[in-house]
Amino acid sequence: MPDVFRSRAFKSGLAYAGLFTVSAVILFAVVYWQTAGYMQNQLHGVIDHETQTLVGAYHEGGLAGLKKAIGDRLESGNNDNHYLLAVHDRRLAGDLPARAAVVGWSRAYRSVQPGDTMADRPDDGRIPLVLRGTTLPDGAVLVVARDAQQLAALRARLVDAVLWGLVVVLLLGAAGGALMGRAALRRVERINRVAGRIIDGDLSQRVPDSGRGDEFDHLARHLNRMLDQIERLMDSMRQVSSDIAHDLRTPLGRLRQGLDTAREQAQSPGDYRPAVDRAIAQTDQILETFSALLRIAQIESGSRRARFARVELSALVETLAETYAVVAEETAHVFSGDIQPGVAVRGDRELVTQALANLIENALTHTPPGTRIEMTLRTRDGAAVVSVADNGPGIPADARTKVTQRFYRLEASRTRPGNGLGLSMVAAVADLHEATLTLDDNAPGLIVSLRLPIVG
Amino acid sequence: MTSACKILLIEDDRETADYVAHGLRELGHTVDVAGDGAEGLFLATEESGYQLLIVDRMLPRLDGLAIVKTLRDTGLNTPVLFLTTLGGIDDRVEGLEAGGDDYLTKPFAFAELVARVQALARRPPLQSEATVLRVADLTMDLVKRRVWRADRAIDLQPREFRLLEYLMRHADEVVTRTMLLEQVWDFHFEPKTSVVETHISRLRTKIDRGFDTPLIHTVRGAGYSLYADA
Repeated sequence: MPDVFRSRAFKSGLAYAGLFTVSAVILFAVVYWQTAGYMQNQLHGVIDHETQTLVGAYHEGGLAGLKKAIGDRLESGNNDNHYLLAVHDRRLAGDLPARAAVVGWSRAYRSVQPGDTMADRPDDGRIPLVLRGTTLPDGAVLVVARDAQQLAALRARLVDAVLWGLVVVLLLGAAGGALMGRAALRRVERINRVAGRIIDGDLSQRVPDSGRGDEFDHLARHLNRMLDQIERLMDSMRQVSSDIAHDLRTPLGRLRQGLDTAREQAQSPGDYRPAVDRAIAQTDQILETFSALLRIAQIESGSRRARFARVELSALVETLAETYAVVAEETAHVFSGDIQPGVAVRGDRELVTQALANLIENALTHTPPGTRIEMTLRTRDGAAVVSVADNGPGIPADARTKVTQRFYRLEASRTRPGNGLGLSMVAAVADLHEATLTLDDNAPGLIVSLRLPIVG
Repeated sequence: MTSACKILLIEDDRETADYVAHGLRELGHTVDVAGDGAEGLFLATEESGYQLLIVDRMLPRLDGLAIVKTLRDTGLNTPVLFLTTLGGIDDRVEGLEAGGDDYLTKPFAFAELVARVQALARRPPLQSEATVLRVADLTMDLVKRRVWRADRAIDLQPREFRLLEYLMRHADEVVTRTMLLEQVWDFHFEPKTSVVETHISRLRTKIDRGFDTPLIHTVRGAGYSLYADA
């Protein structure tokens, strides 16, 4: 299995973890600023309120009154609030040193006192303070301060939480990415192993389908359909090669035998004549088979499509019907035509002619004298349908799909002339024209239809 | 009935070239052979007086199509018969588009070649078409689409009319089955049934029955010919 960490899925997992981390950081920052800001505002509010109360006491009772008020507050034992009343840097009252007499907001630290009872005892023994100094009308400075230990502790906890959170998110992201990568890789690997076995020659292998219906299953199904198609093509190619070998060996053998016999038995040059004539006829038949095979291959290559043009199908079918009516008279068949005029298709005139001629000739050569053969041209649902129907012996249902295969011949027709390529050629022409070729039971007999798309 | 022609054969396969040249010379034609495309083009342009070119499609140095295109571009109108390979279904159209006049698929019967050579070499020059064809006492009016033998009117089906027209245009020549399939039916394949034979037989019944001299003759191993026994 290739390196998980180089897999696409792992990289995506990691990228998602990174993105998630950034989002988490932003979220934490917002929470941090909101919470810490709220607590700080509250702290300031308390200090402001206390300052106003004390300034009120000053206005009522002067410095003495204020001094008394501070003293009362300190004695009440509220450890969170601290005070200073200083005049000219000299402390008149309070528990803060005189150097803390700074006007406005400021920060400072105090050391831990024995009486401090706080939940979050600072590690360094220093407690942060927030102070507000106010100048009184007679020049004295009043400072109200409050322990900010809770705010500091909250800040520290938030920062810790953010850091730990980040570590966890990153670890989960990486682990998740690795797991996803492994899962995806394992399935890709399964496809690769199958591909490897197919390359090694086992075309029956198929990509497993987990049945989950996900994108890998879709891929697997497509690959399997492709493999089915390839296998079918390979099979038909093997079949065709062996058919060619077999179908040409027989007439070649017969040809050789005929020549051999002529050489042994001919007494005079004149005796050779019939043997030579027979040999030429047999050679022609072999060449005809070759030619038909090449023609089918060329039609299947699709290069003829470049030469497609409008084909007046009605006129073409009319000509064929007229021509084969004469031939049918000779073979004692009852031939009739029923042709809708004015129908045109796009295609290769020469090939359509040959394909339709093949259908008629099949009916003429594979049915006994007296059989009715009807050729029709009709338009149906935007398609031109040319049919050749007969009331002859027909073709068994299971053989109808096989007759378009190269060299396939019904047992009954093996003794008749033909190379078993006629319907293969028709099928190839149909494919080239994106037409459908159907063989049906005409009850009794056979009806072969070629459905071509119409042009206006 | 054969008039001697001067023919240029451009064919790289020695065996085919010898077979064709020998056969045509036996019939009294003069045949020059070029073994490749470049030599063929050189002879066709430098040597004058050829009445027919027989050109193989696949040639070393310069292929048959290119030769004929070049010749047609220089204004040379000598009839061209292409020889094409087995099963090359695009060859005919391409050959005709390049300026060829006829084609023959290899391998071919010699009689087939001779008939084609005759037809091409004796092709009448382009001129105003005659509207009435006459062979002996047989008359065909191409405008009215009517046919008479002596003073008896003969009723023909469209296909029979075209068949007879072709035979009359090529009177005294041998026309092969394949030529008739191509020219009369536009069939460029070998039918499994006797399309030509049955039509000829019907035409014979209509043209020759009741007359002392038959006009339609079968030429053994080659095809048919329309002529009055003299």
